[in-house]
Amino acid sequence: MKEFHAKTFSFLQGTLSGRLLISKTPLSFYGDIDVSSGVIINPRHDLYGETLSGKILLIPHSSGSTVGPYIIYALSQKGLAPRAILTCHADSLTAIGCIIGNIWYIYDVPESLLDERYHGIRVEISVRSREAVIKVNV
Amino acid sequence: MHLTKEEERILDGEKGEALSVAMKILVGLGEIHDAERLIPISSAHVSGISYGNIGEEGLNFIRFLCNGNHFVVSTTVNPTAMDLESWQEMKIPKDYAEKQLEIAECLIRAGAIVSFTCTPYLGYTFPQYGDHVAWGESSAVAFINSVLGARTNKEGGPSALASALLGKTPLYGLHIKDNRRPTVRVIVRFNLQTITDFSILGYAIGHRIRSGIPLIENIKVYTNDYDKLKAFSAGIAAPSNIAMYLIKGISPDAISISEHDLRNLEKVEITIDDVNEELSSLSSPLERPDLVFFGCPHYSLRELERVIGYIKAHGIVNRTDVPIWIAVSRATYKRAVELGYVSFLKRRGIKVIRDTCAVVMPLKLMGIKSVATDSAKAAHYIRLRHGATVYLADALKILESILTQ
Repeated sequence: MKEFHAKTFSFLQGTLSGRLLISKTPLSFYGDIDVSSGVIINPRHDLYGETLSGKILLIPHSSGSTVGPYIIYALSQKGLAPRAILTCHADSLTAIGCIIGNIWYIYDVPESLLDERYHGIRVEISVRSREAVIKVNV
Repeated sequence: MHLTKEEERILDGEKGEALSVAMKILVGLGEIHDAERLIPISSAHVSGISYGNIGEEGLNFIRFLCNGNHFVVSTTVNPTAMDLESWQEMKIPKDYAEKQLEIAECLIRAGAIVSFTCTPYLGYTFPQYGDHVAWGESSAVAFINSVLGARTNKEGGPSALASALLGKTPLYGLHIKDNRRPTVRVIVRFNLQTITDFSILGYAIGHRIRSGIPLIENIKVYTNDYDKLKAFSAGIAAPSNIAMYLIKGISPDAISISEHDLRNLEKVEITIDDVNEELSSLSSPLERPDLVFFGCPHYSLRELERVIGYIKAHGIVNRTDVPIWIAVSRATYKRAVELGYVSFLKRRGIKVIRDTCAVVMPLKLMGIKSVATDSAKAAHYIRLRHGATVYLADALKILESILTQ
């Protein structure tokens, strides 16, 4: 069992678990994802063909259009959103997308977790007063 | 981050789910940027309201956030995908128009000023030096930070809406005086003539610098040259994250720049070659465009008068089948109607449109594959978002080449 420490919003608390979906490539919510299925459809992205629903997505940060938050909102309305999005760098667009989509957002995630060997592994995240602890079952 | 009792109650949902989400947006943004607290704002400007950009998802969110709520500060709104009154003439499909009308209605019901313009500082809200505001629209953000000395971060659609509903914004970034100092010096090495020159120069600097606060030196422009500064602001912000620049003698924040601030700053020169290189990457020669478009940012009354003066002097009438459209704000449109400009131009085959611009119109649906324009920002987005070919030149040069063949 390994623990990684990161940050989150003051208004989130509790625990949540799921499988990690990891990419070292920034993700553009607008363009890389099919909103009707929640599948990553950009063939040039490492996560091409992956489904976001119920996963814990970890990326360095998002990229691209300012319309990105609305895509996270739409996925969430359709029940296709990931359970949480984790980024290494604080990212306003992802933060807002997660807030309006009512899913967890964790940032300042150590780069050491952004590693292929953790891809698909189950993690448990607990959050309290802005501190997030990510427990990895290895 | 310190929240007042009232802010906490709104966050906890005491005033409904929508305002709770709005408060979460502001608090969340504040927390990731280490803001101390929220501060009151005097106005908001909401971008991201064109149906073509935000789609069904954006409409749903705006409906959710605005339903039954009211903006608590003076709130203007950006252009939409069409002239809300004459969209049929623009060949906008009906189902698309209905979605766009619903977005506009949601915003107006919540108390938005019926502005639908990227230049709310011309005829609507005119923030003063030191005023804290929450504005979206990169060109307007650059203009009010740089030319008026008002303070705003570059807000996206959801955060500007949240600020409009709550009258607040988190205190970070460009709201803090210390973060408004130059980060790089740009020395302009050529003489600018037309408004389009300012637009392309801005674009070249934005492309080169990408972020931070450039101090622009050796640029000849006067405080009341709003048309040039408006074009420059739009140009610099389009290919970059730049939300503010500084020009001595223009920018209120430039008064307090000290020698110490300038020490160790990198210097970048922009020459006529740099500008020509940008121009050749943005512009292709066009025999006959599908559309001539001016008004990115929305034309001022003075810019309309420049076109009218040219048309009168040369006795020009557009007898070609190329539509010539000039986009303005509702405020400018109203004045232009009163002055007889709209009807004069109509007689000469030129249409003045409101509420929209060629950056956010659904060009593909309208069958437009090539556009001649006088704006580097319009050229950038028309190529990128709509895949159309663009000819970029001064407005009078475009009119000359189309109408006096």
